[in-house]
Amino acid sequence: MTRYLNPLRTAVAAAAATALLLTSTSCDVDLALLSGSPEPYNFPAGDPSDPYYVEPANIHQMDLQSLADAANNVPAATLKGLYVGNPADIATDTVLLYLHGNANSMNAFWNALRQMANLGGHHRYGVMCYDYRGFGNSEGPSTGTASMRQDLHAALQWLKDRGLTSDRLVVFGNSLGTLPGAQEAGEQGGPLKINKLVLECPQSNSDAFFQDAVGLSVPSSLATDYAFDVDGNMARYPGALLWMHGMDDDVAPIDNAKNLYAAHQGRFKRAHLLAGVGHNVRGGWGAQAWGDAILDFVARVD
Amino acid sequence: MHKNVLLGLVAAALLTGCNAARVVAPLDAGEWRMGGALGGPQINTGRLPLISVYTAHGATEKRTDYVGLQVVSAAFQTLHLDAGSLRRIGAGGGMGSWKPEVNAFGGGTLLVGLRDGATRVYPNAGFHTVWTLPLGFKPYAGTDLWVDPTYRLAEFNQGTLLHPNLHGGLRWIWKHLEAGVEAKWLNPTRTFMVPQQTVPTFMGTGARGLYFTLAYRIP
Repeated sequence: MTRYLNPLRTAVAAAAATALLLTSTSCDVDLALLSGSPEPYNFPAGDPSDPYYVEPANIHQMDLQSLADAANNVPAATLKGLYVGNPADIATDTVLLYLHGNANSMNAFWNALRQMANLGGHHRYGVMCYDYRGFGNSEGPSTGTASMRQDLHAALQWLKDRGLTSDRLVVFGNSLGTLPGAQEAGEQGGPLKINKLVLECPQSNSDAFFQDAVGLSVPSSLATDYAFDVDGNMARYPGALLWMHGMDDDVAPIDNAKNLYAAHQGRFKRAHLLAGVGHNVRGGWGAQAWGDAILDFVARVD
Repeated sequence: MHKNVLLGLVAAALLTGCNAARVVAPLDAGEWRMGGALGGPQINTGRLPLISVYTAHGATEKRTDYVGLQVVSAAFQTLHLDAGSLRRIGAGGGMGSWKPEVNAFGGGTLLVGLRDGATRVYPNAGFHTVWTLPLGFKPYAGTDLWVDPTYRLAEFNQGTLLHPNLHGGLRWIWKHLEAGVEAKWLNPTRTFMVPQQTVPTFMGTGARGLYFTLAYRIP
């Protein structure tokens, strides 16, 4: 056996195997960060005595067409969307567009969505949500900033086509959803401009995200091509910002997120830094306080 | 395991000192040893299956050189090599003696990302104290200090220059084989945060690693 394990021969074989591995594989941690799971959608109206009850007639599921971005190798995809409210009223309603966090699908955020629809009164606001590529029953996969941008533009286009204008749009990003939300707020390249943005437990940037996991000064490009930059986008965003963050958040560290709040120099900003609260802000702070904060923000910046 | 375990996997692969010692005592002069290591830090209740391969060569009776490749990092488009040299600086008391052999080592780790060419080099140095028992068993303990020369590039000034690790293990060295198990306390100076995962600590800091090694000896 020894003659087959000649060191030089083995070294050459190892180098060849390494080269093959490096050139033939393309694992990326965004496979994990940007993927949910297919599941049947379940949006129960609830009991009429429930303060967040929604009329069954006001629960609409639709397909959204997320366009291709050939320059970034993003194909077209059909997304699954949800609108809570009467689509015929979009031309006059204020609409909250909810960009959800990392879960299998928007099912996990139904309680937040139906509460939003009832902030300040029964069905006072229209609320839209959608599954990014690779989440829920949307076609996939999500591959980074470019695919997330196209998906958000598809939702904005759907709202614009029904008469929504930028002055009545509030974009709400939760955790993972803060990445496309902040990106669009910084770029302002979509069908509707973002002037009111809520960031709930946001990440900061991909390098900090990765360095927290590794402990060394490694750039995120060693593991992913998803180079998000919430801090940089907040520095470019001219609109109003509401930031909500639990001080015990062990998924998106609050010390990192403080930088994005400091970077924002737009027309208005407010922060709720919540002692004793983790990554689940609504659950930790309480649904009532959470809703009041959003309602107050929307009223103030109006 | 949750879906973000993939982040944990690659993070662990790049984690400070996240590997078993390639060699703990000098090889015989002229000997080659080729092997691999399997194991990693604990994430949640499981352990991440990091895989690395290495080769070592006994340059002299007292000095052994080694080079290793982290396979998981390569799958993520990152060339991740470690290399170094180990030298005996204190002879032990021999078979069954309480006086250990002391071996110092120094080297470094090279990371090159194929996505954008990002490159990092992390020198490291440390020592192993090794006891010699009958039947080829060698228990050992030691420390390993990594240096992050580019710590100022870390976001939000959160980088640190020095990253220590502590380890202990057992090697069994037979005619053509070496097998081993090593436990490691990874970087007790900081807390690791893998989103939506729990990284168990030892006494509240760092991470806990467990590794298995197997190598073939070529005289």
